[in-house]
Amino acid sequence: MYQLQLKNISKTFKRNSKKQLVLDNINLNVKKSEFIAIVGPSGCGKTTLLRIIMGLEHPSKGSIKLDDKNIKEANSALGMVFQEFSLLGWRTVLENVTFGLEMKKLKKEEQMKIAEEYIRLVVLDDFKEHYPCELSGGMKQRVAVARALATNPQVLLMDEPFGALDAQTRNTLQTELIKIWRKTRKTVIFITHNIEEAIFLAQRIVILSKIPSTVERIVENKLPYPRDKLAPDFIELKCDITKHFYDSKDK
Amino acid sequence: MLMKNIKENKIQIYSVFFFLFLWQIISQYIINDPLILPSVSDVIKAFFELSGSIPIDIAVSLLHLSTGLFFALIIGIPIGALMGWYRSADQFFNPIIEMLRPIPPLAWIPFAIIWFGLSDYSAGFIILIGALFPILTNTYTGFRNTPLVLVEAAKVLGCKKNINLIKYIALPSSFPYILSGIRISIGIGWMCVVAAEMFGLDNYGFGNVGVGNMLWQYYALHMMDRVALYMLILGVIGILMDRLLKHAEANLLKWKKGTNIRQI
Repeated sequence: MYQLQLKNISKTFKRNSKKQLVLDNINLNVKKSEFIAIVGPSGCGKTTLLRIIMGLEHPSKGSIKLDDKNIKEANSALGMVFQEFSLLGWRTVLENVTFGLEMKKLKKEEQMKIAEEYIRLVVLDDFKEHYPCELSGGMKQRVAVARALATNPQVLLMDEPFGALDAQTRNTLQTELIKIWRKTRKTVIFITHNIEEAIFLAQRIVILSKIPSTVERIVENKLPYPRDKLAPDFIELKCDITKHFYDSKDK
Repeated sequence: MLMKNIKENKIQIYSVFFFLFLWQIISQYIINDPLILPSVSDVIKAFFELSGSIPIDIAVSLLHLSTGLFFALIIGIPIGALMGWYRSADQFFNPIIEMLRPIPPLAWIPFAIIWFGLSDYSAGFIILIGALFPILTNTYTGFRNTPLVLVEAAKVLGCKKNINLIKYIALPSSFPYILSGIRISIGIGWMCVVAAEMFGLDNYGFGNVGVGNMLWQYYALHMMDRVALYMLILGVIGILMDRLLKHAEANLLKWKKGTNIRQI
């Protein structure tokens, strides 16, 4: 029934022989093609949670199941877009997008065909032969999205991918991401500390508490796509979540 | 284009002429003894006397340099890479390298002669000693500076084995460091040529030749104008190689352009 299941995930970090509990018993079930946003105060372990789902880090307790199979290490059924720019600087845009396909040992022509399709999807046709140092921050993250989608993962994990971008570029990329999501029907788990961004994008918003993080509340967001950030019901939802955010911080 | 080049390099051209002029004045009017300081004109004269044999001297010295450099690369890059990637390799090799590194290439000459005789191989060996450490430490530094996010991005995209992470991520990411390591190695290796060719060597069948070799021979004859000439040849070839390599570096590292500071 659920595509991705997080069961009782806890994570303890050891620092200078002191133990710190970062994630405390997190449970989350994600349906196929669902768009989920995870928000929470900075330093609450959102990124750690995503890295655990990706298999880049191991949980101290609990398990992650994808289609009822446990995930232990980085899995090709999951794709990831990082917060930092993560393109391979010595490869062109096209070569960056083909990287995962090369690892899958696909034929050269097939690699090209798939890569070009995804480069078109993120509207970078004219920049195929450019090197990352010649691209703007927004373009770099588009390439990262294309690269993550090219290997056809079932779930796309995004770790504040637009965090380093200016507001305008951010808006454009949010709109484009929704288009891409509706076209490809991928499951998306999107991390952000920006409530507005979460409401604009996600169908469900998971709110984490501050450290040690627990799931504080899950908000269903039934607003129809494409969403309007200035519509009254959008703003109402934003107020509701923001108030909740501050209330819980005061406690 | 040419005019623009000349204009841009004006200061550099003046500086060369100023140096030669100062040298000529000092040697001719102040010292006035060609044994202690031969003048520019003496050296130019020596150049025309020896111009027939100079190319072969340069060629043989470059051959020695390439021999040493070749082995420095095939030893230095893999060891530097292993040390950068694996902690245990770092701990294993580090004390050995730190102990051998301060020993000057000159100190290896006796063993070079015992092991390889008075041959071109012993010359190559001395150059190898000089060239090995810059390339090794630069490769190591390059590997250590591989951004973690690139390694993780590669893992996420299905590149998981260490050998593949090294091949596809760490090695290309270290490429700028390795290239400048090679350039430093060539510079230092070239400086070792004089030491390496201190003794007569004759393996390639050209007789007693080589820039460093000739320098010592003319010193024995106290022909200091010729010694100065060979010193200048060392300098000029050195700077030419460096310029060439910098040019090649800039071309090979097009993907890095604009990410470093520009000189003011």
